[in-house]
Amino acid sequence: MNNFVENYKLYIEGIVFLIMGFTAVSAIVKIVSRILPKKFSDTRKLIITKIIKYTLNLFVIFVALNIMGVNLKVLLGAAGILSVAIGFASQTSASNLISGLFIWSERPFKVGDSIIVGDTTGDVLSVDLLSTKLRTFDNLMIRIPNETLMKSQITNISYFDIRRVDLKIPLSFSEDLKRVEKLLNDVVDKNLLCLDEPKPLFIVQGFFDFSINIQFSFWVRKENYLKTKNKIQIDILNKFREEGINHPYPKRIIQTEEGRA
Amino acid sequence: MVVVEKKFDFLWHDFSLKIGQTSYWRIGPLYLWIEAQDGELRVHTVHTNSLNDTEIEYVDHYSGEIDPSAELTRYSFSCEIEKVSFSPHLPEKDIIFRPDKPIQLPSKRQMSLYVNTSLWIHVKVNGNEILKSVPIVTLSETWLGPDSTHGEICFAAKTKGVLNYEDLKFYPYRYISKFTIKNETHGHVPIERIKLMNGILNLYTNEEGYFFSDCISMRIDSDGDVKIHTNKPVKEDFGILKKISPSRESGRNLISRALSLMIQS
Repeated sequence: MNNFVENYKLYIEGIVFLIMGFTAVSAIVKIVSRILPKKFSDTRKLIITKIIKYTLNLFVIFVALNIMGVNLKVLLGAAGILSVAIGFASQTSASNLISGLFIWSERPFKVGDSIIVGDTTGDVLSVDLLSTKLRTFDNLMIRIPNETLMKSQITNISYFDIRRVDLKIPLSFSEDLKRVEKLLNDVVDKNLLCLDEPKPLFIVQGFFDFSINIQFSFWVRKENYLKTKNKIQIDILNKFREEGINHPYPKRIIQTEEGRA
Repeated sequence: MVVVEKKFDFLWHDFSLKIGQTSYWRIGPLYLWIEAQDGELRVHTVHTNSLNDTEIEYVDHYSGEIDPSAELTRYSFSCEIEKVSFSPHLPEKDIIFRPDKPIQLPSKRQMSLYVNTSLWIHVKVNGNEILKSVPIVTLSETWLGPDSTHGEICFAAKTKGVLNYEDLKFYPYRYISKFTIKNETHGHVPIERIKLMNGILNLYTNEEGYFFSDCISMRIDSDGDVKIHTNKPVKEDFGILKKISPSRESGRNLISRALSLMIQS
């Protein structure tokens, strides 16, 4: 009976230590996240705090088990055998974990960046040890394993401060290209969201069956990309209508032999 | 009361504004309406392309229609609004200006460029409470840097830098800056675009009501390092000056920056 009471007391002490330990770890993590240098990216802060959290929590669990009278030597011995089994079973997780560390050190993107991975485009919500979470523009959460990210081509569309907007515009063969170039430059000049420099580009892409295709490119701040692209396309359409520049339509000339339908 | 003024001094005093009153100001190319309503203040602004408009028009009780294309900003106000005032200040970003044509600055030579750029105004209520910062002329943005990956966003000046002070066109809503470059390198320095660092400049006004910023001196050392120094415009050049707006950043000491971020050729 005494032994049971003694053990019961140890278990209570262990559990109390566990609760107090986790609370203390949580407080330490909060303090650490506040005192981390401001120049650290959110991703780096997240990973540092998570490593501290998991390490300290593991330490708390070991101490709590020790208080409860669990023989840690036996536990660690068993853990050695278990780790081999776990190692085989968790190859994917380990790969994700290591990939996560590589991504963290290489830093091709940070939390808040907009990236394209395969067919998925979205804002990075978090870079965790095993996976990276994205929020797509239609508000879906997508979890991408870090191993997949390591193997994929990642396009970071918000890495640089400015972006180029490329518009493909088909023109009729009869259009005066110099005049069209001037009109397009005027449209961009009037929009304050378009950057003055680098200068817009007007490139004749080639002659096609029904049209001359041109590429017109201008630069904007990354945050104004979509807004400006829409506005400029509407303005170009209106300008073309005002100036009588028509969209080329496919044309077929069908000749019939005289006297036959 | 309707006032039309050529002198911008008229703008730098308090205007009374009571609940239910709408006042209107035309400050060169900027049209501004302020409506005082119960518990809120509405500021409407429109910018026109009439850059040569140098007049001020003020209507204390405006009863006409507010331009529907005006940008509206509403402010919640629980206290009594008594007066509105304006104060000039330098643009919130650095400005890139160009000389008339690109200039080559030969080795061991010095040149000065003068540029006048549009001011911004603070809209204030009840003395010192800043409501809004408004440009008198809206400027487009531009990128200054060695390539599209490194650099910074600045405003693009609509006016060109001139070599002679006498060639400047004076506008009451612009400030004049003098930019001196000394080339200590062993080759020519081509100068096409220059950055005017508004953050480190103080703003002054002279007896005639024109505005001037600190003068900027840039020395390009033989090793390519750039040293920048600012100093108060001298009385002999610009008349007796009074500081009206302090710089946002401290920049009186020599600063060393990459040439490509200051001058672009």
